[in-house]
Amino acid sequence: MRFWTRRFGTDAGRVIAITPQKRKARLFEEFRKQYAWQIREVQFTLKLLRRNPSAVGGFAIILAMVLMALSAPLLAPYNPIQISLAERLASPSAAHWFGTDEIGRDILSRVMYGARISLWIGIVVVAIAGGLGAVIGAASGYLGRGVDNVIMRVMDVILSFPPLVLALALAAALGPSLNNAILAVAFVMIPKFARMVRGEALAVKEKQFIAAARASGAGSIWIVWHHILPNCFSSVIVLGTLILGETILIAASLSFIGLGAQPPEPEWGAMISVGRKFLMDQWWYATFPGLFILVTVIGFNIFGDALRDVLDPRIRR
Amino acid sequence: MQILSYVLKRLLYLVPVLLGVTLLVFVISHAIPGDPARMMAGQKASHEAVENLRRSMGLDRPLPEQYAAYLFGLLRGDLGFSIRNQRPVIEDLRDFFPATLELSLASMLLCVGVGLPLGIVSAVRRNRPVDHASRVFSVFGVSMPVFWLGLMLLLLFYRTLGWLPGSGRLDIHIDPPAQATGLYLIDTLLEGSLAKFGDALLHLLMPAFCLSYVYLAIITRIVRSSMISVMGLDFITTARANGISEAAIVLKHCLKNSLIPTVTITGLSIGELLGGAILTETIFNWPGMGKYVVDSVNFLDFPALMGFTLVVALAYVLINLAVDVLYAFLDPQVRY
Repeated sequence: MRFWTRRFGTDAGRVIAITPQKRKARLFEEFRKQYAWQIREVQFTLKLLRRNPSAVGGFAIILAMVLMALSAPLLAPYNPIQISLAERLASPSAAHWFGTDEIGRDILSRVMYGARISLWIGIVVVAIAGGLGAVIGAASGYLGRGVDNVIMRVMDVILSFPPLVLALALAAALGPSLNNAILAVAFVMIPKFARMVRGEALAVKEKQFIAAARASGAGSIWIVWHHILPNCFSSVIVLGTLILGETILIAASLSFIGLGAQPPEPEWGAMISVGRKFLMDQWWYATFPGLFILVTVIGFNIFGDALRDVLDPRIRR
Repeated sequence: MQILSYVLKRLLYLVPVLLGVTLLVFVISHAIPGDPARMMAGQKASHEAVENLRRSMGLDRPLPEQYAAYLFGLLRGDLGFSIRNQRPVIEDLRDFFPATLELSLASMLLCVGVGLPLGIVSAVRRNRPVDHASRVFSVFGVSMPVFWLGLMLLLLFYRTLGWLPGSGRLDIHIDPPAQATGLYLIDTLLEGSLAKFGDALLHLLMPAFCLSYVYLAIITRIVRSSMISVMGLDFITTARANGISEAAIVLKHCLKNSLIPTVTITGLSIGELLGGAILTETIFNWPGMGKYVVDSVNFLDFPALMGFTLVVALAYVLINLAVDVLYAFLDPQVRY
């Protein structure tokens, strides 16, 4: 959309008395007309996604996990932190599908509540890293020269560490807690978004509508916010889906080492960390939480891959 | 000549990145934790003891001065002093490095030895059962929590089947071989003891597979997709029209041209293996740098953790440089 149509709407200057309902309907109609191209695009993408089996499969997994997380208080058969020493380390049975842990807590209930923590970590990390990374990348790509050089060298430095190693060092320095682990992982993920958005920004900034905007007197910040960033949106979504899976893995690894969620929080990685001590005799303890990590990450990975295929204009049609 | 100047340019460019890496590690280790001296002295230490330690560690000086001192220390190979083992971190790392190297090399071998053929077969038999199986295999690989995979392998091969040993590099009843390279597979052969070699190999199998699976999956994917994109090009059709055998087309024409992305990803994986080793070594009790660092974290031994972080980052940067240079030699089309 051209930027001036938004500022000086087609109604500008006309004063007509109409009912609020009519006005609403007209605004809606106008919105549809203005964004007709984008709406068609979204509808077409959704159609392609529905036809893509791995997109449907991945989405089904994600949806199932989200529903499980949201309705854990309703669905979970037991209280996830309810101690019941009489039933400790019970093997899977009709009463406890996934067995119980060393102080008799129901593992199925803990796994269900664990989905809340893992998904929450994933969403917060992607929101922080994606938001900051996109703004940094867009500014870097659009402003170019010195700014670009400095920002990208800083990003290179962060990328010089294997992700898990840097997240581990940061989380350890900040102190073991869930929020610190989230901060650490988000910091590590920023350059991945920044790099990609910068690449897109470099391509977008050569387009004519940018020159037009600049000729109309738009400032750099305005152009980055209103033109560069919206054009990178679909790539950020794709990358965000894939990074969400990676984030869940790294966060679970940190918890496994003892730096993420702290007991008695029912976090999957932390559960495996304790379950490891009981591996030889109580196989169910470490097995089920890990299975849920695996399935969740598979969901995000195959959905992200399918989304990328569908949104990539070179191979979509 | 062109390559030489390219290498020089890359080396120059390395300087700011290395400075940045040291600065980041310095900031994490000196600026973020509340009080390094208090942490070093322990919670029970008296106020004077902490102040003395602060002065002797130079922590009372301004931060830029501390950073300069830190840098000069690094140039002399001083990575700090391990609280847990009461000796320089660099000596600790030197002792633990061979085990990690052996594990990483074995994993790398598995990655390339299995990933490359699997990717090729997958590309040639595209959309056939083999391809579907290998794609499922790689989706599982990139989504697998490494530590959980290790535990499941232990359950299956150690607990249930009893085929493979579950921890360490050698059976505890076997004396370790004389230290020559530090790689048990080579050292045992140098000693001429096949029994020890076999034992070391059995101990290596599970950890190596566990560590390699993620990168195995990535390499398989990359080989598959780059082979497929090369196979669609015109010169392959021409080769076919000229009556060249299918095997020669796949192995000579396609593979050669699809090797470049593979080399890149393999190089990147070597660096990432060092990160993955943290989890794998912990699970299999493998006495390498990764297990060392997890033990250090649990002991709140920050100098050890930061020394490890810095060494891994340096290795990662240097490996990436080597890959980029190799890339320039491999691909005559690359111009700088």
